[in-house]
Amino acid sequence: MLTIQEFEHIFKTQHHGCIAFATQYTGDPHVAEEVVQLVFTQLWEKRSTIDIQGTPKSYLLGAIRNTAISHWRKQQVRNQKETDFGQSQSQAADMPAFARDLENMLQLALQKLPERCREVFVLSRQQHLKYAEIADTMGISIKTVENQMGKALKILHEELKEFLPLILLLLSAGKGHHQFF
Amino acid sequence: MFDSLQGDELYALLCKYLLDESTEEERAWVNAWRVADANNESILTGIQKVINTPLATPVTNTEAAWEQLYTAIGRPSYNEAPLTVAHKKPLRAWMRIAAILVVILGTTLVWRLLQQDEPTVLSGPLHTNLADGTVIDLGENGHLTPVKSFNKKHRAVHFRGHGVFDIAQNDQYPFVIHLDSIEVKVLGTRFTIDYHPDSAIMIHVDAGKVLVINHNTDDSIVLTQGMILRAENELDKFDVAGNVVDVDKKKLTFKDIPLSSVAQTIRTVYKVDIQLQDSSLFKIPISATFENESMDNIIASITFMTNLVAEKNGQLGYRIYRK
Repeated sequence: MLTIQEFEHIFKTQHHGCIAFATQYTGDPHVAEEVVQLVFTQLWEKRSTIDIQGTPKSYLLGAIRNTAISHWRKQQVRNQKETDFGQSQSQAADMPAFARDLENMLQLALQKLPERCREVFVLSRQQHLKYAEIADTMGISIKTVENQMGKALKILHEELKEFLPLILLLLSAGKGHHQFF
Repeated sequence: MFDSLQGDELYALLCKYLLDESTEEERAWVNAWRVADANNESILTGIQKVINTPLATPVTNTEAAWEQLYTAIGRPSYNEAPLTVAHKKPLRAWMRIAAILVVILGTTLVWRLLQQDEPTVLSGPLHTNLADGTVIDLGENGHLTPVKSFNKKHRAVHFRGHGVFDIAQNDQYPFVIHLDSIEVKVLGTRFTIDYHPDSAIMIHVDAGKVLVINHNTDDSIVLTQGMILRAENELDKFDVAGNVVDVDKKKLTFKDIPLSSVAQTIRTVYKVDIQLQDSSLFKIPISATFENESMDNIIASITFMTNLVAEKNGQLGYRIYRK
């Protein structure tokens, strides 16, 4: 059974990644923290009966995904209701009108991906999971992971391609000029 | 040869290649594709750039989060002694008597300590301040029990009855209100709770934001200013509406709010059934403020504003339709 020392070690090594992952779903670091706290609390409460298949990271991401998706779906309904109420606090309105770098642009483009596509991409590029681990976490086949990654990349590439040549040019120029900025 | 792969399939293959997930055969195909056309290399470089761009991650405070979690799970001891097998030695008679006395005295002492350490139950009507600066107005039937270790870092209470909470702001340590299997988590805000076990639950948010979790139904929801949540009991799904300024005075404010949402608010606050004839009525905008009005007056105002007609539908319902 999980000891408090082991539990603390898992928490402290996985906390940052878990928050980053949960934030992709909730869009709010505070709500993400609530989701992560809830998942870890349940892990501790069920420690005598729980049977973790695979790595703790994989288990946690799966649990966060389920909890966060449940929360996210309710929030979507909530946002719809708030829109109806005329109280919409859409996050899109808070986003900068002109993203200044590729990281921001990527973040904006991510919102345009279908839900499953975005999940696969985030698990791969943020959590650095292998395709097999993503398939395990999401309960889908490796082939589906490959397809979803291809779909995600195609959409993101389309969204960002007009900026890519400029960025690549700047990067290559930067290699020859250490004081580029 | 390279025309056979297009769109998603091509991207999927290039992605596998860049992430080192491809087979030997796939690698060979991509290597040939790269040199087949000068543009292909720049496409691959562009995709690589997208893949390698880090996703934004929030700033986290793991130590504070651990402290919060550690408190939430009851601060278990780090020194749980492993089980050991003692060597049995025969006890002399005087040692047996001494051991019995120690057990009796020890049991009495522990019992007395437990009595002293019993959590304090605060009963309404009462205006009270907690150690973290939170202010609570308990109604006549309100009963509040802060956890024994309640302090600025461990903010948790058990609650039943009616109470108005003005929670002291603390972004690191949320205030948790346990309503048996339902949890209300807040960082700092003002809201009202009306909760009676095995009966109805009502939560109304005056300001800020609260997270409500029902561990029975695995349901959770974030309530913001002006929102009200009701449930018939702990197993019931949450019924939620907005535009409620003051739940006790039944003050409702609508500004260009669709009729369907207005109907939902009235349903939740007044516990009446309101049926709209068809979806063409849903989006009709309503602007009005009601305070302690009777249902008949509210319905009369709405139908007057919208040129619609209403008829009573049984004891606790209305049906609204076009003339």
